[in-house]
Amino acid sequence: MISFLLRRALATVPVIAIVMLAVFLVVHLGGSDPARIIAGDSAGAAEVETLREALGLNRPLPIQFLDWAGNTLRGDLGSSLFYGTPVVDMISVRIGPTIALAIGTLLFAVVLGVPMGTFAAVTAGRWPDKLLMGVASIGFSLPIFIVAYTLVYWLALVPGWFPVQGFTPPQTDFGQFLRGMTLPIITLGAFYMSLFARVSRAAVLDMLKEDFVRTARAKGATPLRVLTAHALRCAAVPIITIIGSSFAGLLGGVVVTETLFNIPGLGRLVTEAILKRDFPIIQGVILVTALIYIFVNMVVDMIYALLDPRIRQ
Amino acid sequence: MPKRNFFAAALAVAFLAGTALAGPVFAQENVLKFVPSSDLPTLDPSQTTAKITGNMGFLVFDTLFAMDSNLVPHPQMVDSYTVSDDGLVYTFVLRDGLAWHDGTPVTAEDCVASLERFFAKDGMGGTLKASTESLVAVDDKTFVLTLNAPYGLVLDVLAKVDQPIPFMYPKSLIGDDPNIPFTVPLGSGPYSYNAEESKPGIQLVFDRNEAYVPRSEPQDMLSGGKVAGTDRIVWTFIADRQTAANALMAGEVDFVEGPPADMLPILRADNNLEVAARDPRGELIVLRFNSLNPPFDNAKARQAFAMVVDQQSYLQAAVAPGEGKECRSIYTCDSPYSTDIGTELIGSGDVEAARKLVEESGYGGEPIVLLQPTDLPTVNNFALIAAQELRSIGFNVELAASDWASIIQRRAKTEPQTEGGWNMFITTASGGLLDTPISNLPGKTNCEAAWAGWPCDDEAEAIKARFALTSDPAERREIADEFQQRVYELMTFVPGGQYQLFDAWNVNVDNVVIGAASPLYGVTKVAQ
Amino acid sequence: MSDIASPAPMRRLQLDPVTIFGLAVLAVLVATAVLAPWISPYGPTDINPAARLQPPSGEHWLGTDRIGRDVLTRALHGGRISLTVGFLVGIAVLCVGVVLGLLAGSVRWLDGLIMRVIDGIMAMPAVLVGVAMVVMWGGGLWALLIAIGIPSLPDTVRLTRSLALSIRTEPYVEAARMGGTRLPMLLWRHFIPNALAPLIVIGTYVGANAIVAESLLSFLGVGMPPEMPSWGNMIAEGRLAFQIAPWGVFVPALFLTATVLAVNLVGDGLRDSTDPLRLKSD
Repeated sequence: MISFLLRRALATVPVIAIVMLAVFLVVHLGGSDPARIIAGDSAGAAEVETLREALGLNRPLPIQFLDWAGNTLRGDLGSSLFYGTPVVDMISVRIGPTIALAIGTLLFAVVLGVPMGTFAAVTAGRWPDKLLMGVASIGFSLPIFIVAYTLVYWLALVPGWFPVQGFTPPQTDFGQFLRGMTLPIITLGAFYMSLFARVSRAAVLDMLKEDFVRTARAKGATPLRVLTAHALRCAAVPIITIIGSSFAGLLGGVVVTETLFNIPGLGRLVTEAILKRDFPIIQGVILVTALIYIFVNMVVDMIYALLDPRIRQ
Repeated sequence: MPKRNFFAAALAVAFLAGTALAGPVFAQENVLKFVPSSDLPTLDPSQTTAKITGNMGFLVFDTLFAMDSNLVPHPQMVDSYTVSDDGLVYTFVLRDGLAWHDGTPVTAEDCVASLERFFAKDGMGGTLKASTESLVAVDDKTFVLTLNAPYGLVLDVLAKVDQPIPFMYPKSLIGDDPNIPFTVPLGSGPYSYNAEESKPGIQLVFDRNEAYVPRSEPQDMLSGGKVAGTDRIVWTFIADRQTAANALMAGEVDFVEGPPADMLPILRADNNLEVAARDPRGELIVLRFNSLNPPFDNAKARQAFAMVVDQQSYLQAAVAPGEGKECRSIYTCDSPYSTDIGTELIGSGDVEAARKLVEESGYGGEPIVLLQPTDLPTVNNFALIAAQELRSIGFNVELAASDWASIIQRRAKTEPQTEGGWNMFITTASGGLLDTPISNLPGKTNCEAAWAGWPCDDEAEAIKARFALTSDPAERREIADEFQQRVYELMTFVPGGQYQLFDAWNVNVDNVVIGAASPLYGVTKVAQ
Repeated sequence: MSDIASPAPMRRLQLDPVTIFGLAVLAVLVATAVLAPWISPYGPTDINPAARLQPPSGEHWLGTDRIGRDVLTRALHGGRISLTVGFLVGIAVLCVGVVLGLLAGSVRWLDGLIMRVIDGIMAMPAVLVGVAMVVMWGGGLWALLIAIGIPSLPDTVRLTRSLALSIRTEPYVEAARMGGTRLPMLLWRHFIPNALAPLIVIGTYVGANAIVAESLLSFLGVGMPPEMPSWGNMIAEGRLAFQIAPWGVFVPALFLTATVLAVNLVGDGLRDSTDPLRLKSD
């Protein structure tokens, strides 16, 4: 068992190395010049050159990579070229809103999507199934901007029920936090709700066809009991898998929602850093997001192994 | 489902750790919630020409002299000053009660160090430095500037309203290298920077500096007493301008700088809001050629384009009907030196003559690159109009679209367009970068030292040099006319019209300064 | 290859009404996109600042945008771009993915490397890396297509690899190998017929995803060159005047939704009417 856990943990090392190299190359190979952007619209070439030197941007690329990689292993992601603040500090300030949005979206999507899919599976082929899956198909295809603009206009701006933008930390004012997160969560959650509904329907349908479910039915168990005690339990594995990988995808996918609702999260941090060529922030955020994904997936695998000995070999 | 519980618990812990840094809220305080037009490139005003950093600087820092609304300099940190009879020796004495936000007194040493930093980073500062023999602190409050030749604009330079502004910094903050920016602005101005609650890219917090002693004169733009109007000013950065305008309408913020032009009719119709231009000088649309490379190394090609520029098209794309105005002066219209001299070609509309000029210039149909910024919606539209106009006289235009930051990088390349260079870009420039022959950025013709586009002309440079040497208003006026005449013979750029940038604020906000500079420190807010 | 590539699943293909509806919508979109220049009297890039932000009228059926271009014309032309992006990315991802998957499934020493790279791609946040690539590498169509395509690779590679691995161990395949037939030949003969149906299904989802991704990147200001009338560009520009000219956003959004919905419906239909278990096992 312990050897499995160790092997699983070690397997992440080459992936992390590949991610680090890829991130660095994406950022540096384009030949962007942050010094010119800091210096401003009417700065001359000489001023830009001195700034470039002061920022350490004129060193050879392999040196810059080794320097960055070495510092990263020590937990130092460098400092923002524009703000001068350590990237680790900036991420720790920004990660809260992003994770709150991601968790809220998942809760919303699971609470609505899984029952939707289950109910659709139970009524497969009849009108509730068609209605629910129709809704899911549309939710799956609607552009996120449309959902956001419609919600903001009709639920926030006109009636004033919700704030149109902004983020209140939960420990400051929990009620305000919930009000502020409602519209972003629905905006982002519509897609994931549809996704979970589709996956749940497929998973439950599969299970209802299985022999043991038919046996239970034949033995006289009520349909509800068959569903909760047998089918749902087995369908949970694919559903939880998709939830796990959705969470990681959400960390990188919240950027449009964060922009539309002015939520100070990681997505906004990195897109703004990209437009300014703030290399350390771009590298740091993408790396941290990838690490969270790798970590979450490792933990999921380990939990499966704990529950199901067959996986351990 | 134990697995899901595990996720929730782990993430909740991470989440609480992440947000635990947020500070407490003071509900009773009178707080002005301000949304600037963009994030700040740096918090060190000496490092950038960005106006927004200057606006931050007016809160935190103070200046030796300051302009009133007629652009006349008055002492601000300086108590008294004397000028020797030959005009070469300036002696300045600082006023009493000046202190940095950490409590230490402002000294003449600090001011000398700050001025040296400014001389090294600013163009006008550089010309003053060239005339400077020595700059020394005599005692704690007195310092002396000795010139080697008369320079008519000493006080005007010290009271400059456009970035880089000669703010005073503590010597300990800025160090010896003028190129290393500081990250925590510590000044002596009416507001102090709250480093704990400021979060880069999210918000900046400024608290009233209780120790600040304002001058006794009433505020007149930047001159006179700087009295903090509220307890606290919070700058919130909202990247999406539509969202910023929504926040203002919903009463979630008090003041939005530069809401989207298309939203202005809606904002104006809102009784709770006021909409006005804080800087009435306006923005001139600058259509800029690369004078270094073909085809625009030939003045005929540049003049040909000038003939087909229809300013109305640009204005319609920028602002609501009737808001902008046509303007052909390189100094912006309404500014002291505004004139129509030499503007005959611009917008003459003679397509046939223009096509002929293009032919004479020897243009052979090779693609020319027009830079198009995707993240600046107004300038983005200007590029589309310019492309259509260029095509109408036979140019083969390729629009190179990218974000503005990329354009600034590409613009620095002097190579031909086929090797990553460019032929034309469009930007807007406000009064301070245009309003005199000295400051006029697109009129600079000192070759590679000039603004991107690098026009080269000794005659124009000579005219400009004469302007700096005189302080006689009539003579200056004459030289300014001569300079514009020459710039339009060269046609280093074409003006595309002038329009104002509007701001919008809640009616409970008062004392907003309208002028060349619009500091926020005096702005008051009626508590609700 | 045609005799091998028309496998059994296609012959017993029975499409339900919903799938046929999806195909019909797609057909209409393709037709209007192809015929756009003949349907509309305007050009997609014809600007007219004097006629900006006009509401729908007899002259401009669906209004004009911020610089006076005809919204309907642009939306129709936008179909050309979005459908091309979806199709190109779908095909390119399938080709590259199948090659990588076959390499991983047949060359042992490459397997580890390719699969770690695929793990790396899955771990990286697709939107953020996409924005970074397009911006840092100076924009352009190719950077955009690559940025959209790479994050879609893992599904195809993994499916191809697992099919290749399972085919390798089939008794008749092992027998043929003993008999001297080379592995690539075997894969060609046995893999293609088995993999075609699930790959087409994956391809439809990749295509739909690419169309959405293009609109997201355009919304963030790093998508198609802005002169091109892609739906993402139209939405991104239209939102600046959303409250006074909502048609500038809703019209392209409607086209986008209809396209993605239709492609997804067709994908679902194909999946259900071919072998559902094969796709889900991966």
